[in-house]
Amino acid sequence: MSRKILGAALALSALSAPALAGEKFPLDPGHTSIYFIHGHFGFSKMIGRFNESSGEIDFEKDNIPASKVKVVIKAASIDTNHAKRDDHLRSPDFFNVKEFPEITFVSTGIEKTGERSGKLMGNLTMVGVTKPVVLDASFNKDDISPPSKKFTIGFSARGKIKRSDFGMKYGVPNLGDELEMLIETEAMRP
Amino acid sequence: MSFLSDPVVQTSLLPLLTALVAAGVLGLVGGGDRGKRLAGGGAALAFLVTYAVILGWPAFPPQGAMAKTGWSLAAGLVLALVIDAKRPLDRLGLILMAAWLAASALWIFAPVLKAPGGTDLLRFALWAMAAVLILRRLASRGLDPAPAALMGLHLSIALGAVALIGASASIGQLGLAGAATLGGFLLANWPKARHQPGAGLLLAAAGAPLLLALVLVQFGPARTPSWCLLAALPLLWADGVADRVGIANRALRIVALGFLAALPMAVAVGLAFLVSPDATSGY
Repeated sequence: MSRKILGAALALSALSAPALAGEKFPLDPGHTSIYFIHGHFGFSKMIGRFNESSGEIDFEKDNIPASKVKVVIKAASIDTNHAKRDDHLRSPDFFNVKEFPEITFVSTGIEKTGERSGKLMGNLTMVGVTKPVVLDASFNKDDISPPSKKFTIGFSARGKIKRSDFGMKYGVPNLGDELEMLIETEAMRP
Repeated sequence: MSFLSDPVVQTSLLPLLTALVAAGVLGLVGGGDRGKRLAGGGAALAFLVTYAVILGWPAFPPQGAMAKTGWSLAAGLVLALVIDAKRPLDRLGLILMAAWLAASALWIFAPVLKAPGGTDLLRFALWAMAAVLILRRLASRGLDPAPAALMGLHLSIALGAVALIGASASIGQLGLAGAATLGGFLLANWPKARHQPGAGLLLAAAGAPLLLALVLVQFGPARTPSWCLLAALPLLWADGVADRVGIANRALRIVALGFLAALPMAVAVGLAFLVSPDATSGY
C-alpha cells in the first residue's frame, strides 16, 4: 500500500514539477489560436485564422532567452468564415497551398523586455520565401492546468508582417499588405 | 484607390491602350515586313506590363506557379521578338515556340511531379492536347493577323470568366487583360490589316492564356470548373465557318468571325456559371 502511495506521489510530483532546462513542450492544438487581420479596401479589417498547427517550445524558464520555438501551420486550414474566399486564399494569388502546404516559424532568439515579456525573433517561411520576423511575446503562466492536470505553459504573441515581402503581392494596396498576427498558445508536458 | 489600382482599369483600358501603342511602336521600329511581324509582340509586351501592375513583378528565382508564369512569358517574348525580327513564323519558328511552351509548362508543373495524383496527370494531359491544338490552329492563319488575334481574344475571355467564377481573381483579371491586349492589337488592324501574324502574336494569343490555364487547372481553387474551358475549343474553327459564309469585305468578315468565335466562348462561360452554385457570390 505504501508503495502505491509512494508511486502516486512520485507521479504527481513529476506532473507538477517545474520545467526542466531544455524540456520540450508540444503545442496543445486545442489551445492554440493563430489569427490574422488585414485590410479590405480600407472599408474594414478582415479577421481570419489557421485551424491546424503543430509545434513545440523548448522551454528554459530560468534562462528564457535560451528557449526555442518552432511552429508549423497547415496553410490549407485557413478559415475566414467564407468558403469561396477561403478557396481563393488557398490559390496561387495568396497562400498557394498546393505548392507550399506549410507555413513555418523557427525562432532564432529571444530578448527579454520585462519580467514576463520579450521580443521573439525568428524566421518565417511562407510561400517558399523565408524572412526574419520579430513578435512581441508575453509569457503568461506556467503551472498545473486544472482540467488536464498537466504542467502547462502559456504564451501570447503579436506581430506584423508585410505579405509582399514574401512575394504575395496580389491585391496590394487595395487588400492590405500588412498582416497583423495574433497568436495564443499553450504547451503541455506530454 | 489610384487609377492603376482599379481592377477595371487593370483589365481593360491599361492593356488595350498599351497594346495599341506597343504594336505601333514595334511596327515602326522594325520597319517594313519585319515591323509588321514584330507588331504582334506589342500585345505580348502589354500583357507583361499588365501582369506587373496586377501582381507586381516577381523576384528571381521565382517562387510559385504565378511567378514562374511571369518569367516564362518574359523569356517567351524575347524568343518571339528574335524569331519575328529574323523571319516569318515558319515551321522552325513554330517548333521553337512550342519548345518554349513545353519547357515553361514543365517548369510550372514540376512541383506537382514530386507526388502527382491521378487527376493531376489527367489534367496535364488534357492541357497538353489543348495546347497542341491551339498552337496549330492559331499559327496557320495566312497573312492576316486578325483571325488568330480574335480567336485568342475569345479564348482569353473564356479563361478569365471561368477563373473569376471559380474564385481565382488574378487569373480572371489576367485572362481578361490578355483579351484586352489582343483587342488593342485588333484595333490597329481594323478595318484593314496593318500587321502580320508572327511569334509575338502567337505568344499573346496562345502562350499567355495557355500558361495561365495550366496554373488554374493545377493550382487554382478546387471549386473552379476549369473543365468548362474545353467547351470553348470549337471556336478555333470559327474562321473556317466564317470563310464559308463568303463575306468579301474584310472588315465585315472579321466582325462575323468575332460573333462566331464568341459562341463557343459563351457556351464555356455559361456552363461554368451553371455548374457553380456560388458563381455570383462576391466577398
